[in-house]
Amino acid sequence: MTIADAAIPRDAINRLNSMREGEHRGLFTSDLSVNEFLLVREAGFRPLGLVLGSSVYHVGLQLGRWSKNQELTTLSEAMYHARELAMTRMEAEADALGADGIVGVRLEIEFKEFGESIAEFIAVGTAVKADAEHPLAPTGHSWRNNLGQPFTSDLSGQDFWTLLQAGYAPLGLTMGTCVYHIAHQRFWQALGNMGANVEIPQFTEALYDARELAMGRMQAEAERLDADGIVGVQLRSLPHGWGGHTTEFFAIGTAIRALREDHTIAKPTLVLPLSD
Amino acid sequence: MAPVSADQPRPVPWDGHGLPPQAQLRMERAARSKVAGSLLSAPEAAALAAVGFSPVGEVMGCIVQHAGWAGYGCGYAYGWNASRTVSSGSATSWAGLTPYVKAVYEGWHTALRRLVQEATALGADGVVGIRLSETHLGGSNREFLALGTAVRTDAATATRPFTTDLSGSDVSKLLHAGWVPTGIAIGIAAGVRHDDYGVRNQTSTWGNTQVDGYTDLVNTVRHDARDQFERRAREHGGETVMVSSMKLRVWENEPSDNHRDHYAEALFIGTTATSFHRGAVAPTRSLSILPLDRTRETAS
Repeated sequence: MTIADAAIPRDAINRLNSMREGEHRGLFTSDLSVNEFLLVREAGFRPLGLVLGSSVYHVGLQLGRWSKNQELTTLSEAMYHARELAMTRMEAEADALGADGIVGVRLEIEFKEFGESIAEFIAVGTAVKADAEHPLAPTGHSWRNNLGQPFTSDLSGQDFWTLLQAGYAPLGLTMGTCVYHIAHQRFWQALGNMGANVEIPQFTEALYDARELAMGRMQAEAERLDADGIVGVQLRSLPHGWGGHTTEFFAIGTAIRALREDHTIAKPTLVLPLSD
Repeated sequence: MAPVSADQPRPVPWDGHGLPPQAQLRMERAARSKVAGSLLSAPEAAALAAVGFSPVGEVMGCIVQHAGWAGYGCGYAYGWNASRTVSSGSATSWAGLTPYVKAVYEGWHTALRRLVQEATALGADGVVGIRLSETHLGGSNREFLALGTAVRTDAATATRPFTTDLSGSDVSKLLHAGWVPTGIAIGIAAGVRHDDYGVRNQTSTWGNTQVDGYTDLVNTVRHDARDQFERRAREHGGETVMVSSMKLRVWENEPSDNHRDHYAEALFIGTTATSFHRGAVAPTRSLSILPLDRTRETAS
């Protein structure tokens, strides 16, 4: 994906080009905290600039059958597609800067008060580039992932540093989503449960189903990147105001690979902190 | 105790130049006094003392600004997705909210300038931990306020105090690693886009679709604000800008029947810093510790 496909305003392209290395050795922006900034530098990476992608999306309409457990595929597709659009634009900005990767990526969704079911999907992060003679540089291939894209990661600067120290490199942000409609109980069923402490199998099954779908999709993304594993996985339930029975289950994490076959993980030293 | 001691002259009405008389009096008194106020927490003060900074007083800058007239035009054009976003950075000086953005920027800029004036009067080398806030006072009046702690070094003094919204501890960490903050950069932009046929169609469908018009509006305005932000950061002569605040507001306006526009306003605030040593490695290396307790991780 190049800048032209990603619908980035013309002015933005000019600005990004002027920030490219070589032509203008100067200012870079980042939304890293001071701790993160210093740690990323110590890890042998230089921040190149704040990168951002955004899409204002109209989420379609789909209603679940009242008494049926089902995935609402239209909504799942919307939530995935809109995030993907925002991420792609962010990656295109990083690509234009000649970055090796993006750290500290945040995905945000803001439902706007104007207009029904309109939300802005935003992806923000800091593009980084490895120093020319990086001691940990992967042999034979670049820091970018197997799709030729800059790596993305929602890990903080602290986690990024720790990961590199342990001999791993991030490959990409992986995510899976599933918007699920959980069936309402039928009248006789609800009556039968009244006053009894019992499991309600159809609810359990629904929550299982939805989470497994979300996690499975995340897994598939990581497999596409040839990852060794996914770290920092978060499994969120996001209601988004679709009523009590419709919820988005969203899995997100950073796919990683080992930099070398023979990497060793440093043994931690014990520290007794004086603060409580 | 009386708030103003008897030997002080009564403040004269302010002519609008420099600092207001009451502020001028406080600065003169603070410069003579041996008591230095500060807004720093104890760890911040200790961290700053470790790099040779001591507080000389808390400083303030504020202004009540009227940001009423917004400019005209909404980028209307006939046809499918034919409208365009008119943004303050790309438009002529009267169109696309340019007067409004100028007024708001003037507000922030003046508040910071007055804060620096107070700091200069105290002989400070920098102002740390600046908190920027705005209050809507009703009508189109807004108060812009900057509050911070002026600090002085034992070493060589700078010609002009630096400003930063980083905390005292963060400033100390930066200095240890060979970076010095240079100033606060602010980027503001606003834009307007007419709701054309494409937008109306894309928002009333039952299916999934990106709303191209709104996406164009938020992207253009945000990029414009980032552009302004970087331009101002460059003026401070920094090598890096650490963004501390990033905001976007979208609202709609209906000037007449069947005519609806959407407005967006973006604000970026951050601190520029520059390195005072040349070389790959920082002069003082910090000890990196990997905490093993999960509680701290989840709290942050």
